[in-house]
Amino acid sequence: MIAWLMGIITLILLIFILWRWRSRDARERFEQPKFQFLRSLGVTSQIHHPKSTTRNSQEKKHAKRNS
Amino acid sequence: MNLNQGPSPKPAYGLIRAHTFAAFAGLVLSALFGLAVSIKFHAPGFLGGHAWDTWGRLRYDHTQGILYAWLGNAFIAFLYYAAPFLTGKSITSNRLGWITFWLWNVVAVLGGWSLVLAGSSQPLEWAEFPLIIAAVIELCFFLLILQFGLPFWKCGASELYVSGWYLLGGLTFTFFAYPVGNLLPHILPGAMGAAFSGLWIHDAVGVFITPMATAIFYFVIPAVTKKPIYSHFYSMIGFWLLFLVYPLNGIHHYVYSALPMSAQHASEVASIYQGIDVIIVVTNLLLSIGLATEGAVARDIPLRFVWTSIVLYLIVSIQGATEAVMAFNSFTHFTDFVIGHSHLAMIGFASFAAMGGLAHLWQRLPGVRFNRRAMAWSYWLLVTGLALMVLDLTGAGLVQASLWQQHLPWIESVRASQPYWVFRSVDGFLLLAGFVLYGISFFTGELNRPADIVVVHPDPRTPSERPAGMWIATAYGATFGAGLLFFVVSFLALGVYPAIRLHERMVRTTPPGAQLVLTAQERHGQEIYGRDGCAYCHTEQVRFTPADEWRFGHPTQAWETQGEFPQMWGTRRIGPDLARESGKRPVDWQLAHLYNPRYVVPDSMMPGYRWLFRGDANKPSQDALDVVAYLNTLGRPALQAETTHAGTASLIDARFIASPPQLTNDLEEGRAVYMANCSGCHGADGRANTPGGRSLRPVAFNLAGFRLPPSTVWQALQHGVPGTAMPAWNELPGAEFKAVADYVLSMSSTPELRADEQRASTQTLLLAGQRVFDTHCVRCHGETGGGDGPEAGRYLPRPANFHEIQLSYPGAARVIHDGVPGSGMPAWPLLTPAETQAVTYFMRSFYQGPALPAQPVPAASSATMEEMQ
Repeated sequence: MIAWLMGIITLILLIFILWRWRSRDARERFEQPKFQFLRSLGVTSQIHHPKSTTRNSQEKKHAKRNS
Repeated sequence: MNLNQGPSPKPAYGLIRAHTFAAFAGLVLSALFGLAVSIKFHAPGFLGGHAWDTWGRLRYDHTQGILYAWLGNAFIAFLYYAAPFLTGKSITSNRLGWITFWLWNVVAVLGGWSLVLAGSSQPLEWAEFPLIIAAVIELCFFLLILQFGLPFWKCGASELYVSGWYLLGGLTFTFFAYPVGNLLPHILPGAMGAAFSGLWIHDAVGVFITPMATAIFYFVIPAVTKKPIYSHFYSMIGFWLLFLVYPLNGIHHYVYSALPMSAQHASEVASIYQGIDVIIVVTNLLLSIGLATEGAVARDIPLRFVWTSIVLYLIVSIQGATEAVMAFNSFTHFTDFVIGHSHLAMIGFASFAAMGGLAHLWQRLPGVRFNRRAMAWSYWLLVTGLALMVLDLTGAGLVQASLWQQHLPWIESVRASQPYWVFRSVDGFLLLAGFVLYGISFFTGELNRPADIVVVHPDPRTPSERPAGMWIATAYGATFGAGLLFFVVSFLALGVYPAIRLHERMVRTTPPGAQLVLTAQERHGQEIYGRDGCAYCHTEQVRFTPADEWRFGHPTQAWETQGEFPQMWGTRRIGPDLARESGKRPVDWQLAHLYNPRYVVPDSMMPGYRWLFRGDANKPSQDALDVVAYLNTLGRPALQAETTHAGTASLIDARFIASPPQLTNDLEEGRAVYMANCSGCHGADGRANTPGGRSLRPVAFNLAGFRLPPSTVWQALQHGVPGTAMPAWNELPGAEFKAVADYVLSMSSTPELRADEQRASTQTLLLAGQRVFDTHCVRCHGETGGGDGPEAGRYLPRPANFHEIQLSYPGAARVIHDGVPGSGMPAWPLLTPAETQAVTYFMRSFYQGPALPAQPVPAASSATMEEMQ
């Protein structure tokens, strides 16, 4: 029974995450704290505009650099 | 940049340094405790065998030291460094920090260590410090929440960087969970307490150590690489999943137990979830390092520690999830496989993370020294030592598991483990050297620049973020709320729910009149048993597995455990399970074993508890008697119930009682088996003249002095000898059983008297012997020497049957002169040597066994009947 409850809770969380993930604003907002943290460390060179710092753009950038 | 106005916060250098130094001291001392524990596995008398340095107490101090003295201090030091970067605020108060420092290190750590060594502790895993110390640690967690929670509250951000979430979550959840493992097992009995104890066992690692270590990962990687982590979104999924499912793992330490099966299955499922969560976290972390850096791991040694920790985190989590799967668990649980897993977790994951974090901050601390070369060496020493140790313990665990599945005596697994345990100590020295070198690297090398650490002071809120309106919308509010919620969920699901179910089951199944409450003496024995760590080698739960049931008897039922405060089910078996110990061994055997286990079990690695005696196994103190009294309560309710409800049914499984073996002539193998299993009591020469043999009541049988028929030897080996300490050896493999039986038969030497020894003529010896026998022996041994005299029924073991036993003259003389202490046979010291010879001669005339070898014919003697009288 408890295992089923855990499964249901996980499913609800998954649906919630996917629902939030559909929003572009939310996706960008999710990633903001890592840039904010870099600023507190005094690193500014790696901080880009939110629109260019999505996961996809990072992957492209890394792929380009590694090629 | 979105900068706040106001002074830039600075890390509290003094507190960072103080906690870092305390962490080094804690690490080295805890490792020394661990090394001593490890050496005692193959040298039980190491350090001399005092109360304070017994295995159990050092074991308690080892794990508590690693948790609080080493990791606790290291994480707190890192918190002081990281909090200003994560919140843009200073800590609440320096004074509060110093109060917490002294409370944590002097009262909790040093006080806890000292009390444990002095004999004040509790046998609860990861909660061994006594309750008074537990209260201080709980207070410290509260002070740490004040110290670090307030800056988060002040910053008011709703989107916090993931390290901040982990640090806050770890402190909050630990504050709630810590009392569960410490307090509730004292209030709730046996199985019910075990459910809560299981929660804390896993929470200590899952919601204290893991969040702190993960916070370090997420902090150090971007700080070194100067690049953002791969995905903050993934990191937060990992965070929330961790706090949801990690606490639900707890009961996986007690699968196949009397706990409700639904809770066991839940913990199994949660463990698999946990594995999935770790895959997400580690993938994100490795991508953050791998894609964003060019060789930073090789260049930056702290990052190298962090990288190694991340990789090992993945391995140990997958390993842990696999161990929780019931099919696998039935094989490996209680073995060194689990100990290998825990060392991989605590050194490879937690300690490497803490080392990476400390080294990272130390490199940046102004005015301190940092030796890169020494640290690089320490890294390789630690990696090598850890790899060897984990491989060694994993191998030992698999060997033990395999032997436990076979129908072999328990001691076989101890013997097979010895080389692995020796090797582990060697690995331990490597690790200790690595730890010391790591510490040295903080005191030597180049001096850091004296410049302050600059915390750029951005608004913790992201540029697009509005200030959080309600407190619950802030990161600290969400973390605190979720921490509380998840704690309640795990508390209800794996603590309260099983406890309710167990209570119902106990009420339903407890037999009327079952003796569940311990007497004052038994309870005192239980306290000694607990404080000296006995439960950390001997479990007190027979699991619902075929191997357990075959070896130990009926599985432990929940109702039987109602007298256990706190429960001592245990999570490791080095010695056999004791849940069915009641009545299994006589008190004298238990006492001799407690005084020096090798007296009666030659290859035992159990420490002796000599301080419970007054210099001799036969002079026990009241404490020793109380421990034995407690041992005889283990399984007593079930034994009573069985006797009441099943008549004469025995706990011994009859499936393995075979027919008498055909004896072999393999005396070499028989001798090897004898020396390994029997020589402790019966002596290498069979004369039972050993400290162990003499400590028993009745004293061990003199195998050299009496010729036994094969059927009697077989009977004794197969079933043991009722009324004596002789156990059944029916677990021996068939070939060994036959070989040792054959060897025992070959040990006896009962020749006829030589002519020069004989004190009278044959006729005279017979007449005088009969007179002595009729006067002193006939009441027990019977008129015909069959051991069936009128008083024979009063004694167990029964008086000897001389039709089956052939006496030797020296053996009989010893028995007649000394008696058999602990049996019905008294000493007859007033019999003269001549009378002793005569009565022996007479008794030998009853023997009906196999013919004796040809003996010299006695010559005429000069003794007369008068002399015999």
